[in-house]
Amino acid sequence: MGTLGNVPPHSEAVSALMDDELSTDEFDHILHALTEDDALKERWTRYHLAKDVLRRTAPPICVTSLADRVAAALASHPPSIHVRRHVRHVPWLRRHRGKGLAAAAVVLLTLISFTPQNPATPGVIPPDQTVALSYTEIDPNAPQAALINAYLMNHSVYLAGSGAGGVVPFVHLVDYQE
Amino acid sequence: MSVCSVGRFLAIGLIASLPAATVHATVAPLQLLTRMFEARRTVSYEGDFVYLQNGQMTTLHIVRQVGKHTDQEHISTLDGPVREVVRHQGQATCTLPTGQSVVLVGRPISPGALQHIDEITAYYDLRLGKNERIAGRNAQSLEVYPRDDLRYGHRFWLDLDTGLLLKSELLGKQGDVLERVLFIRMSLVTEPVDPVESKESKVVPAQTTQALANAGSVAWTVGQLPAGFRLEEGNQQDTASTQQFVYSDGLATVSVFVERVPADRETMRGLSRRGALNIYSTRYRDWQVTIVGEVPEATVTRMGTSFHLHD
Repeated sequence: MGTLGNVPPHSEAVSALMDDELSTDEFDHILHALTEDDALKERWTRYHLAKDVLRRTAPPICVTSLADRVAAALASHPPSIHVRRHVRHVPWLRRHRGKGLAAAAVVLLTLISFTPQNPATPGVIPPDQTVALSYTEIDPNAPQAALINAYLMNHSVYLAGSGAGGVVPFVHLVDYQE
Repeated sequence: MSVCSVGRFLAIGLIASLPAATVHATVAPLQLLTRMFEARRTVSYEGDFVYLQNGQMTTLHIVRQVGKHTDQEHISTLDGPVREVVRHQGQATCTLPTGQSVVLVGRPISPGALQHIDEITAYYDLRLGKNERIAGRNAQSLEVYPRDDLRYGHRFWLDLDTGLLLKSELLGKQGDVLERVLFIRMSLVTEPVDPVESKESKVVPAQTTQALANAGSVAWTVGQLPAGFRLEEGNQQDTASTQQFVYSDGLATVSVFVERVPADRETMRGLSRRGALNIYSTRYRDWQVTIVGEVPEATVTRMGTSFHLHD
């Protein structure tokens, strides 16, 4: 068995998470660790990206080849992939199969990425005869949904040109195409 | 241009031209923010990044090219159906999975937020964070906290060499992360790349873009505009159908869409949300008013309920 070198704690467990090899207890443990540890969170994201890139088709134009890009992504974090493949023992975990990676991703990202907003702030003018709606309540086939999408796209195009928001307006333009 | 404006742009130019080591050693938070906006306008790069929001993760590839006669971006998804946006000289072409395209008329990258950047500290508390390594590059973090509850906070991680944004987080009122962008790989582009050609497909003008061409002549105002926001752009032309007014405080941007609707047409009313974007719709006389922005729902509600015509 190779040496772990400077592999950060929990890295192998994250790898096992990617490989769908954790029991319920192990799963809970690593989720907790991920919510507490930003570095581990980013490591998990990089694993996911590398795996995703390997499974998908390259975009229509790339300055570098897909292989180069994947190699570059892996080269920047060599312990993550290599250690996972050669060292299967996780001292504080037992390995079991049966947890779906997709479910893990949804649960994990829900925990680390999003918290619902609070109700309206006190002191703000109350909406006049309005009904609070969530976006999901808008029928996607209704004219209102198409109109809102058009508004969102125009808003994002303006943001993209203003330079504010970094790449986020472009992500929204991609997203709103749905 | 006033003397004050000239001085401001000279200062911006000076900051943008500083070597990375100098910036690292002496930079103040506001200067770092200025450098970020300037880099967005002037640096060519390409890279892969992940976008995390509401429990969903999307991986994307971006190529940004800027030059004397070039201002274009190409962004495409790396997972799921291929979706892409090509933005060239201000015009964005969105290619749908069906192959159909939608063209949106925007504007070229402009100094925009730089024009009033010295006022940002009145509404946001800027603090330098730690140095970190992101996407194989050295980054300086910058924390931006709103001074009221009418705007969101941010955490930025800027490339020390260029000022480019390597990671960003949009923060809710409780400091919760509403959306996050993280570059996995980024490299600077120094050689010209051929202009991006979108796939040939039927071009369908976006609904509101078409309508905006017929914007109308009425004087609208926000009665209770949050402090720091100013009107950046707005059409006040003849025979309005739909108009877009854009307000910004330098970091947060809110669009107000106003569309004349027939009396018998059902109008949208209330709050809705799309990711970190809040949307407030209401009816004002014969007009549908819709406020859209990455700001708290209190802000879109306040602006929507006080948006009115000058009588």
